[in-house]
Amino acid sequence: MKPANIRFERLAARILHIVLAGGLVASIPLSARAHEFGLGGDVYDDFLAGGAVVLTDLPVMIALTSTGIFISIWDREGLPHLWLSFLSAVPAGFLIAAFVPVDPVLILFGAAIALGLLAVIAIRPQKRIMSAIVFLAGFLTAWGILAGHAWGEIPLGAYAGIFGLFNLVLATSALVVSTALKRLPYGWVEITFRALASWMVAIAVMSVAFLLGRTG
Amino acid sequence: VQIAVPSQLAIITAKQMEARPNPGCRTPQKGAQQMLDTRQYRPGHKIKTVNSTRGLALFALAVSVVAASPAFAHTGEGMAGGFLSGLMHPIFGWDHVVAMVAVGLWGAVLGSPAIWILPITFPLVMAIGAALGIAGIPVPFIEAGIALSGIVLGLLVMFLVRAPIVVAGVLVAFFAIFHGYAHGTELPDAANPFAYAIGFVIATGLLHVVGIVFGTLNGLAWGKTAIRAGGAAIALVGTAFLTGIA
Repeated sequence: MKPANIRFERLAARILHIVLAGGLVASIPLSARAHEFGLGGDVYDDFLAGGAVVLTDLPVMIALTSTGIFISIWDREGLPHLWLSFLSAVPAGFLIAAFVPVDPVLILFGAAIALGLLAVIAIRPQKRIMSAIVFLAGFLTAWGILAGHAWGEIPLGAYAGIFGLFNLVLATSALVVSTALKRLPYGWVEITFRALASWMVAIAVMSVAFLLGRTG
Repeated sequence: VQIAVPSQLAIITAKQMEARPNPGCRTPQKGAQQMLDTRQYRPGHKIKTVNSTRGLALFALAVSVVAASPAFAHTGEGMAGGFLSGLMHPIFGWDHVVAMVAVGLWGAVLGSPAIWILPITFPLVMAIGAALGIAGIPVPFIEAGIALSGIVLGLLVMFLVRAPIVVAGVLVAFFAIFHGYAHGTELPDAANPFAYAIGFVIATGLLHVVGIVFGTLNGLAWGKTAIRAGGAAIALVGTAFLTGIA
């Protein structure tokens, strides 16, 4: 293995440790800041309510979009190889959210910043490490978005809405980046997406600072 | 008690609006009414030519009333208002504008990889500076640091200094702290902080892009002179702020 690859592997392992440590810190129950679901209709209404929570949640959108950018920069055809990892992570996140209380602000913004930075740095780790990162992305965001809700408190339709929109946002983001990189094979295209990821990280940092500064 | 994050923000915003009047306009309702009055017109009505001194004075008054409208003074409510407020914030401060343009310009002068590393570094570190400001952690010499950033970056562009990328990155990051801090202390005044943050970061990024585009003149015969002149102008603006002229 080349020295550069070894360096990347070590960096990726460190980032994984940081993300895991961040998850543990965030799992300390600080306050109940759970998401509200506008429920009360039929299954389709529940589905839409679940999806709307994903679309209107800034850190979730940043985390998922950054993951999509990161995957497609890693490999233009990377998503199909890693999707299974994401698909399995989201239900796991739903499950743990019901039993392990967590502050959604910390865990969601933590995930958004960590994943955004990964997209900015654009490391190229091995596939198994990449699978672990994608698993963590789905797991942490699913955990954060349902934090504070007991098992069965939300109807099945809302779970389906969150699950569906999680995948839709990830796939759209990865597809846009992948298509752009394939159609426009210039160095500045990848740099543009990395710059966008850095903007998203900056937005997340400012937003979480405001939230924590205001609510403590 | 479970509180949704968006609702929580709405409550904060409503309380803020109740607790303290708009910082940019002491009587926002009156100012808004003035704006409405000045924009009243009747379709089909002939506009008379103003010849007299009184007419000119009235015209000047009308222009000044419109120009001094509270629209740019953090009056925005909700998502759109917060976004616009954040977007306009860096643009209406010359000290911020010149420094942010200078970052892109210097990056373009240095070439790859500085052309993208510097504009990525600045917003990221600026956000950390904003977080320090919001948290109330004291950072000394904020205004002087902002003015110095214009002077130093302007001079670096003027003399086309080719610093190593690490040095350039550290320097830009250092100055970004001051800019972020200054804006971070003003961030809670925004109607919607998420929207404010989005608008603010986009404005910063676009100012970098302006600098990069200006820096592409480097390839032209007269381009270097134009870039040097731009750097000198940036340094002058920084000096004006440092000495208190501006």
